[in-house]
Amino acid sequence: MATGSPPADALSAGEYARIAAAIEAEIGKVIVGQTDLVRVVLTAMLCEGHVLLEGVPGLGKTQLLKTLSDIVDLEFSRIQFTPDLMPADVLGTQVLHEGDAGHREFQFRPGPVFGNLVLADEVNRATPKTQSAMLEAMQERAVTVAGETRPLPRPFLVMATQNPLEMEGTYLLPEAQLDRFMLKALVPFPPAEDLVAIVERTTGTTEVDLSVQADGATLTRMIALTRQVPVADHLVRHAVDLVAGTHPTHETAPEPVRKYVRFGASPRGAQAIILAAKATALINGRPNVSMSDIRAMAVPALRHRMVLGYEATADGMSADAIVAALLTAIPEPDAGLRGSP
Amino acid sequence: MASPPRQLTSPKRSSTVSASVDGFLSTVARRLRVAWTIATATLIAPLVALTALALVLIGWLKPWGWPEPAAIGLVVVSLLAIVAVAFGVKIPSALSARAADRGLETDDVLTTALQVPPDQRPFGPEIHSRAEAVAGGARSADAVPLPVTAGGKRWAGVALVAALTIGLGLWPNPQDDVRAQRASDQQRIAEEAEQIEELIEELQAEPATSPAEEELISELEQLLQDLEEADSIEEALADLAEAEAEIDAGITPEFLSQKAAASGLDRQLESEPLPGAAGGDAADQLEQTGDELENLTPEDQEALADRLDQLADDQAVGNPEAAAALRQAAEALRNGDAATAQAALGEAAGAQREGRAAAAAQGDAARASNVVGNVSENLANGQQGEGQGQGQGEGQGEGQGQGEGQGQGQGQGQGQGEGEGEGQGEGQGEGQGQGEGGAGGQGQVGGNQSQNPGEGGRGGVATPNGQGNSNVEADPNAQIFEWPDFTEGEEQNTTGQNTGGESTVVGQGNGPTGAGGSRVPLSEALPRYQDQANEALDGSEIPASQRQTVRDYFDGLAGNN
Repeated sequence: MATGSPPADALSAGEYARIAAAIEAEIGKVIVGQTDLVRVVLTAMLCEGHVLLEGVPGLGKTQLLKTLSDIVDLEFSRIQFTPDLMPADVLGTQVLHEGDAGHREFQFRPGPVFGNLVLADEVNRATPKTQSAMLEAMQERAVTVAGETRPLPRPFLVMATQNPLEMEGTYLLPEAQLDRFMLKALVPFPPAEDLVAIVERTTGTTEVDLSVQADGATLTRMIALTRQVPVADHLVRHAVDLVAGTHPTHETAPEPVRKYVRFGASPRGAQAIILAAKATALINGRPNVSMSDIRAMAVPALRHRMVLGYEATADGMSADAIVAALLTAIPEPDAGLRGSP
Repeated sequence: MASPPRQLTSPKRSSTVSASVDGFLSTVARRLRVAWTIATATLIAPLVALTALALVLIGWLKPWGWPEPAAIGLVVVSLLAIVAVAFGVKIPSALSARAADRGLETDDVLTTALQVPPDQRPFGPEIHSRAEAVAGGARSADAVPLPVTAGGKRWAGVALVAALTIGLGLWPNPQDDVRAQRASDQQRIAEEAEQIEELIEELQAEPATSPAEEELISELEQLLQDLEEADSIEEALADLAEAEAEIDAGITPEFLSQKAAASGLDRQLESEPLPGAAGGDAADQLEQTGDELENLTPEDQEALADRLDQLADDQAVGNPEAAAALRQAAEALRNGDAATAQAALGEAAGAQREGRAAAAAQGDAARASNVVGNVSENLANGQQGEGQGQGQGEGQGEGQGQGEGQGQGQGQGQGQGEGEGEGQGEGQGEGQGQGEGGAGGQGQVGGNQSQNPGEGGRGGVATPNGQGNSNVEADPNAQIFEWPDFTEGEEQNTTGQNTGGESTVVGQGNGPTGAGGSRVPLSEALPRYQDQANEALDGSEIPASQRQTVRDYFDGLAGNN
């Protein structure tokens, strides 16, 4: 279990990009297509951010996360959320332990949340009580059981999936918990070509041999390096403008936001955009963030942070469409001088 | 998600970029300046072009002189302003870097390089290395493409409007003639107004300025301002007529007699001082005589009373107050009341001074009225001549007839005298006029040639049908007072005092002596007066509005005689 923070300068930007590309390539051996989804998951992992995958069953959400855990050699734990799942089942519990001398004591038995890469499968099927038990773990990277706070191993990544269908017997994630997911990725139905490949791969006898591309220490260095990527002032400003534009009462909010959004994104949205843009820059082999990185990360960072009104449901307006309208309304700023590009 | 990082971005510093990056950014800044100029011109050119077109169209519709110069000025000022602002626009390196990043699609590496020191690990060196690579391999023209094609439609529209504007500006404009005429009129008005300026200077140069004269100067200055603002001769003539009427309103009908009385009394007492007077003007002498009454003998007082009566008769018309005071003084002297006589003489002196001051003020007003009338006349003459073109200016004249019996002058270029005596006609105008006078009278008509060569003659403006027919009845044999004829005196010898010696001539000279009586028949004096009046009418002291009154007066006298 990797818990240390080795010096970040042990890695160069080129090495970072190479490892990231290798991870993506290795995932590609199992997951057909879904490059955007893979990129989002990888980005969140390199930021040590939690990611929420949403898609109908059978699209490979769980497979993607299991594959990722195999490639990065992190301690992987999977929690299948069900309505009868209790918080202790997630966090761990105290058990009475009798020693050799007959001495009895309570010992803490860690729950599945004590892993580096935690797969919270169908997280919306758990009760709010159990869901909220994840809150402290996700935000504080620590859990408190029996009055004792226990830190979680680092890196700690929660990768949750939820099914947008079968709403009966599910509990919508509260906004506070949604906000703790750095990015949210939608898992689209694959195109026909990809589907053919999926069928061929999964119905034959060939087994994919995955190799570890990064251990926990390397991943920790990569996470540390991500935060050191410099961002120019105007890029930070643009990220803030985008987040501000999600608020229906803000002057820059476009019409779809004013009409369909009840509450805009929190400041965590801007943090997520910047951090994800940094990882994107390094994944792309650049030592600095660009405007395209900022705008590319706006959708996965903001889509789950806006609380939509009933008008959006009535009009079939998705969060993605609203963010797209936001990006159109707040275009990439020019240099600030008439006639300049 | 992780707790909010304390610092999302790296510490911002004013980084030092390499010389190659700095040079590249400088060239980008120059390019941006050009791009700004073009973009700004593209933005405002349609507005400027349309405004200029509107101004030129106004120039076609209205005879104003400012629209076309204003259109040119608008274009020039707009261009100069754009260029001036373009030079003044501050383009910092960060702006150049952002523009270059966008233009070259370099993923903001130049902008980041400006904010990250080259020695900042782990990414500073690589960022600056990338920035130098960009600067070394890129051209500023690629980084900042000039926004020429973006405004193609706008410039096409501007070119169209500009061509239309220039065409309308160069094409003969129906208002050009009006403007030229207006300029010509304004020039003529200005030239003629110089007379008024000179008059104002003369009036201001006079040592003592009374309130009436100050008011007159103020009126003239206002008139000058009105003339400067006048756009046409008609407007100027209206201003002149208004001013002349205002000035004439301040001239009383008794002005001439008042002036004659004042100056006549001065001259009378100058030539023949009152007893007891040491000298000075009439008012001074009256006061001095009043002070010396006690020292005069009864005979002298009696003679003085007679003299004062004569003076009172002369002042009766021009200065009744002075005449009454003089008579009162004479009466008091005859009654032996020296004190009353002295007081009356003092009143007479005061009346004389007031009369002289009033006459001076009205004299200035008369001069002003005359000058204003002349200016008005000159402007009106020019206007008529220009209007008639092929000059057959019809001469109009004034006719005057004089003589014993009845004289009548007629205008229209002819003076005609009827009756006996001399007839004299005057006329003005082009062409010829004749004055005919019965019994050998001759008419004389002066021509007034056009002042504008090639435009033909211009009809002189004169009082048409200038005929005098005053109903003043006068007895030709009536005795009237006439100023003494001053002739050269005989040689005078001045001898020394009686010392028993032989007298010695110490000097000789010609001095004025009064010859002839002071009372002459009217029939003898009237022709001379009329001649003098005619001379005076030719001068500038009598306002134009009063001339006819003078003529009527003498014509009336002549006719009744």
